[in-house]
Amino acid sequence: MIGHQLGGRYEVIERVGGGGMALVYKAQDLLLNRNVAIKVLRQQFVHDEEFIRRFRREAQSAASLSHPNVVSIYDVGQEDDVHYIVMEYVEGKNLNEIIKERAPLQVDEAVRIASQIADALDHAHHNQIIHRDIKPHNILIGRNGRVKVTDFGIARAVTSTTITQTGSVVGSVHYFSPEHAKGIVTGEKSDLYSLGIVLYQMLTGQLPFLGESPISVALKHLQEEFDEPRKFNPLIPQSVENVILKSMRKNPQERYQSAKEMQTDLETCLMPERRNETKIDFPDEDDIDQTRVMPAIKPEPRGVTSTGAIPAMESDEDNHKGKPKTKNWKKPALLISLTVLILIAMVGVVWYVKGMLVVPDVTVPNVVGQTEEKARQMLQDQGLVVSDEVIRQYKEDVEPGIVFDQTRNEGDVVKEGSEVQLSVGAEKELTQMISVEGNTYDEAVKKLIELGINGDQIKRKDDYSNDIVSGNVISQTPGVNEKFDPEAIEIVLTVSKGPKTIKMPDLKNHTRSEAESMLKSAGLILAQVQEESSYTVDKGKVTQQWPVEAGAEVNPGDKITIFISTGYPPEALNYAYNINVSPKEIGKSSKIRITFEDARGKSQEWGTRTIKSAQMLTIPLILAPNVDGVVSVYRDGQFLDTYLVSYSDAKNGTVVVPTIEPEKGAEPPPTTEEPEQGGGGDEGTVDTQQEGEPDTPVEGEGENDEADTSAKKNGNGLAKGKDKKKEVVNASSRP
Amino acid sequence: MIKTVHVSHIGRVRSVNEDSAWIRNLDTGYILGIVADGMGGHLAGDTASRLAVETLVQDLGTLEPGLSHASLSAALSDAILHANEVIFRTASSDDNYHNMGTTVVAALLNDTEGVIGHIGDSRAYKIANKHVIQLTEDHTLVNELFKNGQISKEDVSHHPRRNVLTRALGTDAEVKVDLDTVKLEEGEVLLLCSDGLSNLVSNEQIIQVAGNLELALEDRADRLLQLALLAGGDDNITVALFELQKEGSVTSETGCES
Repeated sequence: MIGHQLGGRYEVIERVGGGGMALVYKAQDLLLNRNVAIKVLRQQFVHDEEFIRRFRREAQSAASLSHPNVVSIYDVGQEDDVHYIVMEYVEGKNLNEIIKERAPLQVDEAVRIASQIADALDHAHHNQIIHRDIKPHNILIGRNGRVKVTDFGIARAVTSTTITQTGSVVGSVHYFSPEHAKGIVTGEKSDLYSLGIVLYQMLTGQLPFLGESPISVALKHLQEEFDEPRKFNPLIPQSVENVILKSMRKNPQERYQSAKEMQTDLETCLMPERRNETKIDFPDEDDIDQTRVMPAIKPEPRGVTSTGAIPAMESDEDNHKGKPKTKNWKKPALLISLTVLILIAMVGVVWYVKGMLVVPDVTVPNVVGQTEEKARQMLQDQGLVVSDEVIRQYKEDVEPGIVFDQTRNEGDVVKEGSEVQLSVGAEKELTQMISVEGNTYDEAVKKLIELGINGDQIKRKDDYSNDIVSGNVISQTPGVNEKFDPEAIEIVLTVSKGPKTIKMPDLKNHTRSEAESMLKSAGLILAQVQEESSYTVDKGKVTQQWPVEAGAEVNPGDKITIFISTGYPPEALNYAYNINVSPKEIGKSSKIRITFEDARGKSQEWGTRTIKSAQMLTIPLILAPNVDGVVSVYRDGQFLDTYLVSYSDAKNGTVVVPTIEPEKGAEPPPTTEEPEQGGGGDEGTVDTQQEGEPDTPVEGEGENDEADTSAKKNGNGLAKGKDKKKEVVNASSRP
Repeated sequence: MIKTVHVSHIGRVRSVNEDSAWIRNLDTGYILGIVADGMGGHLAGDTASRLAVETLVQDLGTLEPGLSHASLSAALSDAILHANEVIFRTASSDDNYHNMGTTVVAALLNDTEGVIGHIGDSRAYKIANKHVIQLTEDHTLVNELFKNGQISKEDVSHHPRRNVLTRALGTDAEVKVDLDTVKLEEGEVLLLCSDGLSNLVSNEQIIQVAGNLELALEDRADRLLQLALLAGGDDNITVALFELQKEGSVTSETGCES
């Protein structure tokens, strides 16, 4: 797209942004010689006619807007399957970037921005265009500070059923009006709600509703109250907060009636005469309920008109006027009955005092060791009174609820009705645990000692933690607010050792899924899988891991990239190299051992073979353009010769097949038939030997060892190497 | 013996079939059925659903036989998460696939019992005894609103944003799979379908057609498809059926793409 000329007029310069539906480019209008922004519909939608139709229609209706705070639409076009909208290019930032950089903004700046947005919305609403997606990303601030709202009506095109809608919900759900979230008609007031949220965000640096998922945010718009902005930023004047509170009402009826009304409020809210404004008050849900049930409680006032209320009052006064008459004859009767009552009471008191004078003596029983209830009962039975003030305190060896002392001792003779005070055992007073989590260990200990805990009651445990800084307390027992006995408690503080480091597993030569599960079980994350060719690692297995080598320390959650072998590179040459070899002496056994090096590595063991006659031995080599093959031949433990197999010779088929003559006896080199016969017979022998003595090498142990180590060296445990090793052991184990 | 069948149709309105389906008795003894409904525009939607099916088939085709229910659940969940990763990676690496995603509903049965995993609004139903039970819960905005008492049952089917998903496969790096257990008795039918069917065909129609044991399973699948087409066919339609038939009936697998 870049460098492309659209419509023969707009030369695309660079990509400046992109959303779910379109990509935005900066371009040069060659005709008018000015910069423009071009919105190009994403390729995946260009075959959807319905969508294209909406896209164009919305762009056209937005083009009818002409306002200093609205990004102008210059042109709508199509070239092949590139659909685009040409718009005014605004040099500057979008509001989202500004909020990220420096929110909370100054109050006057935020109000000025919001007021310009409201002005733009007013203009659009007058033209029957609802924005539907007001959010900081769609608000551009030019270098001169001018606010420009973009993407009018585009959101409507996106609601087509054909578009992936998860993206569209995720993008702007934070600015959704409740009615939008609910899916009922969205109108002008939905834009005002979104603007309220933008203002909230500019002034507090945060969003009123946050949630784990778009749906939880959407539900919060519907159901939950938000924290008032002044809680976060006390510098916000009440008059400005009122604008936010009003525009963010859940009920559209309670919001501003128009963008114009909101703009006027925004323009005046910082005037000095509004400095002492009080907080705006809305009848909350409960009040609404009350108004609804009112008729049932007070039917009469409702039925009476406001003028009719006065006669009702008058009739009330009439009642008052009538009352004194009735009171007049009631008074004497009251006086008489009062006198009679007082007389009766006096007689009663005399009887009582008389009774007091003849109080009998009682003996105090022993109630120590009894439960409080029992003790009370025993004392009452004796006619004694238990004092209301019971002394309750913790005493060693006394169970809670058991009496351990009484004010009158056992056997004392006292008047009936005397007071006895009891002392009752109580629960030991417990201390409430404070929180020391997140403190350094030393701080935590200090705080606990201040709480009255002895230093040696505190035990320290160390553990790994990804979240808590090394040396700080991760957790504590007992937990916060738990009650405990400060004398007996043992407090355990778990102290962070920092994040747990793990040993990086060796992924090399494992299959991809093995490597993935190894990473998973080690708590590591597979960042990327790349492919590369390899001579040493089988196709489909890991050739290397990055950036951490096996055995190094890593933190859980670290990202690891693995490289998977695609097998040999295409230029690799699979070449079967032949050598004619004769035994030391024709007719007698000679042990031939061959080692080789090729692209897979140095000093690889081909194996040993015992021959009696001349034979053609084949060594499979993998050659690379820069690695020639080298084959070394040993006979009966004695080094004979080394042969070079060059890549170019192998490719061109010009490799010479060397012949190794017997040492003794001038027998001619074997004919071509012989190797086959000898080879066939020989293999047969090998087979039987393998079955007969699979494990015990009778001779050539030294060679066996050597073969073993060499296999380890270059095979590195991969399957191929292991197979080879097995072969070597078997072949050399024959007598 | 479980008999399976699936059909998929582009519908009457769309120009691409973005649904993908796969159903088979595996060599390992399991029965695997998958329905995925892709989204994301030209090429992207069908790519997403195809990747989902391919990844699941590849991962679950080689399960060792005789796993426990818990292991089956874990394997299905892992395979779906793997598919999520594959689609998400493809979508992030190629601008043509920007933001593509898919729904998925997959049933992995061992004999008559098994597990259903799903993300999005493709559904699994069990039809038994003239009753239909929806086994999966849609991950849609309207369903959430309904569950929270914000809208009524009637509003759900008329809501202008009823096809907004709250969860999809491949649109985010992380996703949660819902797993449900399923057990089939003789004569019971398990239905997996895309919303092209469930939006247009009523539960009563599903009972009548899918639960009609007189009809061959292929015919029932085809009839459900025709019902959706008759009702407008405004979306791709995919139907997959499993039925536990009497021992001795022949197992077969039929599929047709149009």
